[in-house]
Amino acid sequence: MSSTEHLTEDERQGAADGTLGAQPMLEAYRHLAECESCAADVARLRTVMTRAREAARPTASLDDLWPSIRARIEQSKLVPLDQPVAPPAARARRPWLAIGSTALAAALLIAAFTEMQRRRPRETVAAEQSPDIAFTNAADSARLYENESRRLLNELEMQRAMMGPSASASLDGDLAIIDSSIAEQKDALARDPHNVALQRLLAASYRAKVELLERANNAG
Amino acid sequence: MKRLADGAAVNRGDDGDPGQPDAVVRRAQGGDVDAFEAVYRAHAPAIHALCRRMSGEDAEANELVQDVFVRAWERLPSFRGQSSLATWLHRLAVNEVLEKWRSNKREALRMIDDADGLALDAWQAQHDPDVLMDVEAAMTRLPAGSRTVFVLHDIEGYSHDEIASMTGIAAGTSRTQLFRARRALARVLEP
Repeated sequence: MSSTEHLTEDERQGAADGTLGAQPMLEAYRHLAECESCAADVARLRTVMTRAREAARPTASLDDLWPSIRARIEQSKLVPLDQPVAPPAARARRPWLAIGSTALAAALLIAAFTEMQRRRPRETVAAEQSPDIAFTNAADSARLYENESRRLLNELEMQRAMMGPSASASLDGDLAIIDSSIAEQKDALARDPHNVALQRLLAASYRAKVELLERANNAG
Repeated sequence: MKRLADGAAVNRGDDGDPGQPDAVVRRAQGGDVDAFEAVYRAHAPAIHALCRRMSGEDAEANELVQDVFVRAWERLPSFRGQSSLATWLHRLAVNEVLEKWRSNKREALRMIDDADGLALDAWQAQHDPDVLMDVEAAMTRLPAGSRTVFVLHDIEGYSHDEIASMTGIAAGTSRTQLFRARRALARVLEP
């Protein structure tokens, strides 16, 4: 650029935010020292940038948002299962198929448990969470699911009268699989009471039981 | 972090010393929700301001803040203290907002539909030149594409290449949108 020509738009913007290269910046500054019009324009752009960075509109209290964030966090602490719960419509049409899938999930849990026993379960503790807190979370989840499964078992007794003998037998078979898995896991936890992975597996087994009972109750 | 010519640090929230996460953050990383609440209270205003500037709406900003902090909770174990927590949260928030927009076709279009500056021209045409606006209000009323680039570049300190990679627009488009946004703001702030 010559000192008689005004800066281009790119040069003005670059001079304002400092993103011009070293040599073009030097030339731009030389020009700005002599050209009031370009200097005023660059100053104007800088003012916009500075005011935008410094703008601080008072924020309304954000306390109201915390309870729902906390609720979502607490929800996420519950142990997830790999098998998704079938939607209600599907449950109503083919309830026992859905129950079968829960039994399959339970069988997979048992297989995972057996494999975990073989591979020293302590190594599977998530590195990102302190063992004490991870254990407490998993134990809380197991307790919640256990209580829920008790409540659902009571409800199920009311449904039994309307259930066909084969459906009832199939449900009992599936429950037996899960209960046996739970018993084994409790046994293992009694021997290794601070094992986080085992506690998580127990929570997952209880959740499988809850899902099975929910499907059975909804089917009735 | 990029610094601008006038020497001012761009507002990526670098208000803390990088290093080991402090005790409260470590407790939150270990699953302590009460400790995480303290993190939320310390950083929510800045994250809310960022979300409001990017979205242009208070209600949407409130939703985004919730999503950002739930995501922060999930990812906090991966925070190693190499940057300040504020910087880490800001980056996570920007990613979260853009991710939401990417998953919403209408919003994604909103981001790229102003490559030729038509929305910005319309915005300026609607503006009463006799009415002075405060900069925050003016920013939130910019068309989404220009506003996003302006916020990411001039306030959050991202380069055009970074913006291009995050938003999917070309680096040249990012520059063009930024220049137009500054000009538009200059006009409405100092008519």
